[in-house]
Amino acid sequence: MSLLSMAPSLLLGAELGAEASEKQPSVADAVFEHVTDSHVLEFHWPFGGQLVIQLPHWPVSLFGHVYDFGPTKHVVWMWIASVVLFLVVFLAGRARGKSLVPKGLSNLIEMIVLFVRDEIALKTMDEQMADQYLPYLLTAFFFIVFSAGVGLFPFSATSVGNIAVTAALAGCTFVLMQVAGISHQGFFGYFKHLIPAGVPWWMTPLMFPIELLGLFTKTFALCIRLFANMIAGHIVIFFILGLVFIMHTPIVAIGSVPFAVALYLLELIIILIQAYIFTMLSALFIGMSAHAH
Amino acid sequence: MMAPCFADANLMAVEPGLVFWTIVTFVVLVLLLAKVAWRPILRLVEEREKTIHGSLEAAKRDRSEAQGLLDEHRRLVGEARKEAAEAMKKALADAETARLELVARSRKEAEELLLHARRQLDEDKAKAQAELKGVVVELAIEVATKILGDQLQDQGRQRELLERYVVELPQRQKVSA
Repeated sequence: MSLLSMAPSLLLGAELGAEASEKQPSVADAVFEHVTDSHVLEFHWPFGGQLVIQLPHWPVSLFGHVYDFGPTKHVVWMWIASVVLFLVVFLAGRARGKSLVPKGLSNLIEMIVLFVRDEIALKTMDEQMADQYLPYLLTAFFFIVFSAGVGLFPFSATSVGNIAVTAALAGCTFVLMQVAGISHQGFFGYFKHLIPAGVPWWMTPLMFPIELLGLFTKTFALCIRLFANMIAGHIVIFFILGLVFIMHTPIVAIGSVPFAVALYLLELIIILIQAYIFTMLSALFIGMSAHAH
Repeated sequence: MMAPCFADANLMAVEPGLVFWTIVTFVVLVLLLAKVAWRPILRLVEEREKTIHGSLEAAKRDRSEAQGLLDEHRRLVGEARKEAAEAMKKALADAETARLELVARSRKEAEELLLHARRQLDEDKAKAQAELKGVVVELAIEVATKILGDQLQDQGRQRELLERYVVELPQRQKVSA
């Protein structure tokens, strides 16, 4: 999903539309086709020609329903992002060797690692817990940055712009919240302390369901926030570029292309901010559930 | 035109397959990176922090130690300088005393020498005068004897007379001069 990948398919759409007026794909069709998941990987070359890879369907029957576990476009790009992330971080750790002085790539990665440790983990948890949950928080931060970063390249897709992916990430945080709560306060202690101290005992029937629901709303908000922020920028960029086709005049490009480029740069900042917010809130929720409030 | 697009796109659909793959990918990534990257990086970072902390402490300690040494050194140099100045002063004073002593002694010696020389001179003079007086008297007697011849028999009496004349002689000469 990118600026470059969209234009040819839109052109294609326009040509098709001219030829067969009854099957006229709109700009909105093209845009949503690019931001949603599919079983097709499409690469369009700038001067004609394209590569289309059909991804397999792996139907699995579970609980009376048939689910498709075949890798989709978003799965593939998530894997690509994961491999890139692994290589970058692995090489960054390896590049320095035994020297205590970081340089180049290791310096950058280390700076971010230190940021996550000092500004996120240590601000929300005690030292022992921070040490325990840092690998999760660091991976979440880098995973979001790399998945969304990969989505900025031509012909790629932003996997964290899919609600299923963000739901899975938020689900992981949810599980860790429960793990942290139960391991620090005991099973009953954790659920007892869901109700804030100082609330009168007769409020329990009201407060307990609310707090229990709160666990899920926190997770839900985590999921929706990341998903919406990641997909919104892409949709806006596509529609602004799509103005050329909606207006049927290339003159619009004079305004819409620079504007789209500006939004593209804004996306870079949004990716970092959203990765920070997701990691920060995950750390906050995990830290909160570990200690009775 | 827009409404069916949203329905087709189904942005809000949570595909179980995608959830499954995300969880698998993410959990594998967490475990793998924790082992291969995060733990080693965090360990190195901690080690570096410890090293920097240690180095700072050591630097602080070294500096205070150096400051102490410098103070000690300054004190010693000051003392040495003072001692040297005192020694110099003492030497100068000693030299002055020695000089004065030497000067006094040499002056005394010179005075003594002068005194001695003067006494010797006086003695010699007196002796020469006495001798001269004798010679003059004898000469005069001889001359007088020669002139007067045998007329002067009573030599003792004459001699007394002549000696008186000789004593008066310089005064007479002065008067005549």
